[in-house]
Amino acid sequence: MENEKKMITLKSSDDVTFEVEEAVVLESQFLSHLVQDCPAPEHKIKEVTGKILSKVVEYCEKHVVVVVDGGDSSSSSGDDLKKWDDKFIKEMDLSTVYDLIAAANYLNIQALLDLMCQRVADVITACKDHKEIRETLGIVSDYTAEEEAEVLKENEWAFD
Amino acid sequence: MSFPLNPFTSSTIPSMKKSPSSSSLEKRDNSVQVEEVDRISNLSDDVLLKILENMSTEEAVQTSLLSKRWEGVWKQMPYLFFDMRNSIKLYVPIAEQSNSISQLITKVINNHNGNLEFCKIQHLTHQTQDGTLETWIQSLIHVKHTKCLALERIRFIHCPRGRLLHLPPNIFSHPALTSLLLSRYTFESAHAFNNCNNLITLQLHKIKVAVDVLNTVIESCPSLEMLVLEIFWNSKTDCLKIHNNNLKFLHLACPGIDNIEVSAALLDILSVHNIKFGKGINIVLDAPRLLQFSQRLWRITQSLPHIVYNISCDAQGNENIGHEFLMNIENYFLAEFATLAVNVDMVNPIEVCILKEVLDAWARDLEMLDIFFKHNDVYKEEGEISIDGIQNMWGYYSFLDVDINVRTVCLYNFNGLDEDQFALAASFVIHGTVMEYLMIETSTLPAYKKLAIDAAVEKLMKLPKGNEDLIIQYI
Repeated sequence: MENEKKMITLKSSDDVTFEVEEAVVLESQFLSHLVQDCPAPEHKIKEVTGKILSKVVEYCEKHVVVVVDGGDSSSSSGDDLKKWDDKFIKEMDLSTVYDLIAAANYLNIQALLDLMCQRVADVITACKDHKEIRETLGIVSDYTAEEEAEVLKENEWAFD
Repeated sequence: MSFPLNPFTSSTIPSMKKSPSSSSLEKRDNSVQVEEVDRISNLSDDVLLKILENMSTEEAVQTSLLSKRWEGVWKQMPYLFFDMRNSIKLYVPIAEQSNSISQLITKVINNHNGNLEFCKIQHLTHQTQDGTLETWIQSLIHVKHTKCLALERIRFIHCPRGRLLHLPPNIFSHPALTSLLLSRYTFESAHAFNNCNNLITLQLHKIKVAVDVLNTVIESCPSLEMLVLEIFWNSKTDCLKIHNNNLKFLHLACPGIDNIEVSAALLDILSVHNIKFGKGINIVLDAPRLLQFSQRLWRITQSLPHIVYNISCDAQGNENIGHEFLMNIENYFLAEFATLAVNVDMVNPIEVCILKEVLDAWARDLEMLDIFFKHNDVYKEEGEISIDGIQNMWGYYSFLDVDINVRTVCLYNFNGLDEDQFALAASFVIHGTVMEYLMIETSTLPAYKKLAIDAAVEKLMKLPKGNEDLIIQYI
């Protein structure tokens, strides 16, 4: 722990600041470029709110690979990390999931984006039919009855 | 931390819409008035596709019914996977359903309008007979330009027999198609494979084909890097000929063919299953990358899997093209008591990583594990190592952290002074996973090297044995 670690401050759109290790920032392609190109002590991320940025930081801190002296990789093992991911998404409402998708997309954190997309897919596949999916996700159908019948006919293979 | 959130008051990030992917989406879809609460429909096509990638093809296609925004999203998916068994209804004769199900599949294939990179179809016997399969192949390879195609005839109760695959000449020849898998068919001719320079990977599973036809198929695909042959055919006289200087991975499971000739300058993995060497089967192997460490293989007479793996990676650090096949033990029917010979450079971290993966996948039921160490010409004088140091190291590599079970481990070209090699040997002793013998080969070494190995072996013997009955000896 005596090792001097480079710290970087991230500031959200609503001026919440997070001080994180450089390694954490490197999980995001966007931020690693930003940090490289402009070595300022503080980086404002206008597109992400403090609430969402805190989740992003929490995720990246968990997933960063830490190499401790002695060569032993002390990052969480695959199983632990998966359990942590499951818990991380389970407590999350869909609105936060969408915000995180947008943030992960913007900050270019592929693993977080994948995880959030997996979560939305799980919500969709847990529904018994398209009506339940619409209700759950707040999708309003703009099909007329005829159009809907036509789409159903075109893709009949998927509907038993 | 948790925030009480109401999903309907979401608009905290209007600025996010400026991100490039969502702005392109808005342009494309501004005719569709999506309500604010429906945030998922505002996501870009790329993200929606990522969501669909986590679903089966059926579930993904079903989303077309949600709204106009969703109608075309699945049509951009890079893969489609059809299994006709899922659509079969009980109590209706198969023959009656088969045709209509296959027509619905054809419709889905035709409706798809993106880059269809991968397509797998598991179909019934009828489709090989009524021309449907040919229609699918034509449309997937020559219209959709699919890169990877897998076609599997599945056996289903009350299905008629009939595995003969009649296809027109050159049908598999298309520059976009690089990978082809065919399962449970009979070929009478090789002409479907004419001019197949395009194929990098060819997998023939449970195929009935005469040896001369098979030879022509292989000759027609000179660019192959990965070849899997699981062939049902008996011949005492014909010789299966595999001459290909691009081939990196070869899997052979053709128990009825008695004469096999392989000449492959770049072959790094040879995997053999169900072939009884020494019982009238002749194999002539000309594979310079394997020769030094594959001789022992041919002395083994059981028909169990034998794998010879010269561990290597390309300049980008990618493993062998067939590595994934090898890692899936389900590709080997009855894989117990396998024999594995690997050639590894313990100084190269990527190679060490690959070795670990191979052991994780295979070492549960290994009869024999031969490890050949590369690059031992560099002789290190220093490097006295203590047992404490060793324990740290095997902890670091944690080679044997899986539940493994090996009867005999043989180490060849073992350098007693190399820390990494010693640590691997030590881990076999300490973990107690080697059931009978740990053998160390020294006969080919000059005398001055033997001294160093003697010292190392002595240290190995002093280690706390995980298995009391383990015998450590020289070969």
